[in-house]
Amino acid sequence: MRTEPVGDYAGLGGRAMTTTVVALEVPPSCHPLGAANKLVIAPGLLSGSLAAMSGRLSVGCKSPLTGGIKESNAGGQPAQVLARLGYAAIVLEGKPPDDTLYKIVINKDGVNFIPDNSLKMLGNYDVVARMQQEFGDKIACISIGPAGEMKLGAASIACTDMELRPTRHCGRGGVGAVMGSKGVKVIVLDDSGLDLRRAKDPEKFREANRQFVAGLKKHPITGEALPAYGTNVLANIVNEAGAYPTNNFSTGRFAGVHNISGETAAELEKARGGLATHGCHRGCTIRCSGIYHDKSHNYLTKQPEYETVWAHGANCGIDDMDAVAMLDRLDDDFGLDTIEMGATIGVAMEAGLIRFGDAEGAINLLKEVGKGSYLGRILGSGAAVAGKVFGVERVPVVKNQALPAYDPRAVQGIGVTYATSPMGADHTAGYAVATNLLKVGGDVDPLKPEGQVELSRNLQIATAALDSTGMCLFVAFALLDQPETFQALIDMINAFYGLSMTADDVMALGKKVLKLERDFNRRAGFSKEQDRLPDFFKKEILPPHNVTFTVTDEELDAVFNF
Amino acid sequence: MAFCENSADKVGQPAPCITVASGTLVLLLPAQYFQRLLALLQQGFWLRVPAAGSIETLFCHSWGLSPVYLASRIQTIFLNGQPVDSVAALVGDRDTLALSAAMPGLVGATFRKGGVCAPLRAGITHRNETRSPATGPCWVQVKLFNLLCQELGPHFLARGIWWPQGLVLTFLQGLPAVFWTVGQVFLDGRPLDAPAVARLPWHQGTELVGVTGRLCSEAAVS
Ligand code: SF4
Repeated sequence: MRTEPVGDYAGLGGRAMTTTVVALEVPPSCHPLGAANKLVIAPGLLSGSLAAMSGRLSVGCKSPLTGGIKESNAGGQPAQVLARLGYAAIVLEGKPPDDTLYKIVINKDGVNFIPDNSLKMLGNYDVVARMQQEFGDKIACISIGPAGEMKLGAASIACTDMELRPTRHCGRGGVGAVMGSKGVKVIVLDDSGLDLRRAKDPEKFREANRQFVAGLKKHPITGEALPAYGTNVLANIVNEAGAYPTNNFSTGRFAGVHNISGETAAELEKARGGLATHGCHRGCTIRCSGIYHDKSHNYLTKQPEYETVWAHGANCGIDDMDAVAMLDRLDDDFGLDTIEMGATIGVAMEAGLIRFGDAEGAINLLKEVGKGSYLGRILGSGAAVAGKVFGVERVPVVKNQALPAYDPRAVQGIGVTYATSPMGADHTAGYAVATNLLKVGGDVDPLKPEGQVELSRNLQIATAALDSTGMCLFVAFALLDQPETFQALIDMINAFYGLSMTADDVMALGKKVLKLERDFNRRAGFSKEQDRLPDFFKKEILPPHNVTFTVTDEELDAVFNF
Repeated sequence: MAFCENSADKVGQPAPCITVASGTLVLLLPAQYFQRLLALLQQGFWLRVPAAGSIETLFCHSWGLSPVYLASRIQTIFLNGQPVDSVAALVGDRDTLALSAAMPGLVGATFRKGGVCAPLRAGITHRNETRSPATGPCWVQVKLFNLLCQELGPHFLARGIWWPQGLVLTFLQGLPAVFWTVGQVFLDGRPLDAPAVARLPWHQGTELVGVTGRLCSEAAVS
């Protein structure tokens, strides 16, 4: 264990930090579970300060699922606490000599590695409860469940929320397996006795933060839709658009959508004494999350997000919100990516292991993963592996990572991002919809067909830029429509660090990050042939629009011409 | 009455057959029971309009909504499952309009009417030029999502809407016993209670029944 000055990595946060360390220090050809891979955990630039929405934790490594570079991020408390402790990043490297499991405790007095084999194969909820007993409730935890210990491709890393529950996950790409390969079960962060991080120019910082919060509150998405219903407010409109993948991407509409929509879930949460509006960390003013109670009005899980509800719901033909919430709880406890697991169970249903719509069967399959049975390990390795093992052709993955909740045949431009993102199919890769405002690569003409390639490129750059600030991605909506809110964000960063960055500088950082990621993948053996959607999207017609994916390979290859 | 001819430009499915049942239901709902109508508003209700026209004409003339509300609050519109960029789009008989306030995510921005991300869904965007204007009175199905359920639901309910009998029956049968002490339901002017609802011969009928509703305080009802 060593603590080093931040050196050349000074000024980087979030995805910019994790990607840069991985790109410069991890040999691209290494085995993702081997000693040469590194797991980099970094807070955002403004984490630990008073800045609203600044608690995003970024995790980076070479992915055991995709074989390429991976950045995965989550909310919850750890980013705030880690930053207050004064660390710009934690880097786990090397490999333990035996299978001893460790907990790492970081507080104002330093860092402690403590062997603790009593934690073996515990679920995230039990691990956190044990840490709470041992270290009190002023802590934040970063942990893995049994899936991470078994080094499964769908394993996630859990971050605790404000209630000290392991509900926020760096889900994608099997990052939990890399933490498992380092022999680390949990990192306990305790900032007792430490202050908030202070800005270089406190006056300007406070004013910029005030403007930023006001901008978020007045915007209809960040001020109304997300707080009222969370991200699952999308279910109805994506379904209406015929882009809601149903029964393993065999159709674009789900008849039972109204039973699992954000509107319905919010009412259920309120009626059962849960919460339809809740933040995942202190300082979140949007509060897109909630608390989901079971039929007996007892806590079951946090409000399942849109992707989770889709993956375990429509994609598996399940329209029972309680079953979906139970699957979310099990994923969080075993430490699994909800998107990957929903897609995998969809593939298993396609293979005939259980029928579409069988909620109890889906819960039992997920429990197999928690138990670590042979079947469970196959399923926990993700949709691509399950598809191979069970001989299924319709396997919705890019670079071995499962597609999220939008069918690329209906929304072709999003298919461009799924195909070309260095992360594998990723719904957040092109999420920062600030493109025209930020004028990345000039204005896009919405009427030109090539607009979708140009847009996808700009969106990926803008997202990488926003991820690099370490802010919750959902601030992007207010940035798109309100230039003064985007300026307030830049003013906050400048006032905090005493800088004079412009919007162009932020976007340049986004471009640099994407190029580093792309270059890592190239050195790891990726070529343009991996930037493709599975064949069935080009061959199978998607009802109700009866469309196929028609963006050409040449157009896909043009995305990274910058 | 029934209207069953097929309409050529529906997305992937034939136009629904519409049969109207006799009887009109009137609901006097204490505000807290309005939430129970959310599932029905999401699934859609039917409106009879005297003449076909553009989305703008229907909203601002037939349905009495302000152009400002249409322009600023209703950010996403689907016509028969196709995202619409202009409120000049023509609505025909047995078309379905789905309406949403501002939506999050890249997909939310993509479906927004006239938004910068519209090219991402160019393949399914509604194009007016493929249809000819309908004439005469017609039925239009309206689905309300998210904040618009709360904001427009009471408005349309007060004006009178049409729902499949089966959906209305499920709603009435799901009302808790305490509702019947604070809310009221009338069928063709006669008050209904829980036993009367249980005797309704509607089963899971798809015939449309006229429903008018008003939100009120408990005191106003009792
Ligand atoms: S908006 Fe949602 S995801 Fe973002 S910080 Fe708040 S609760 Fe967490």
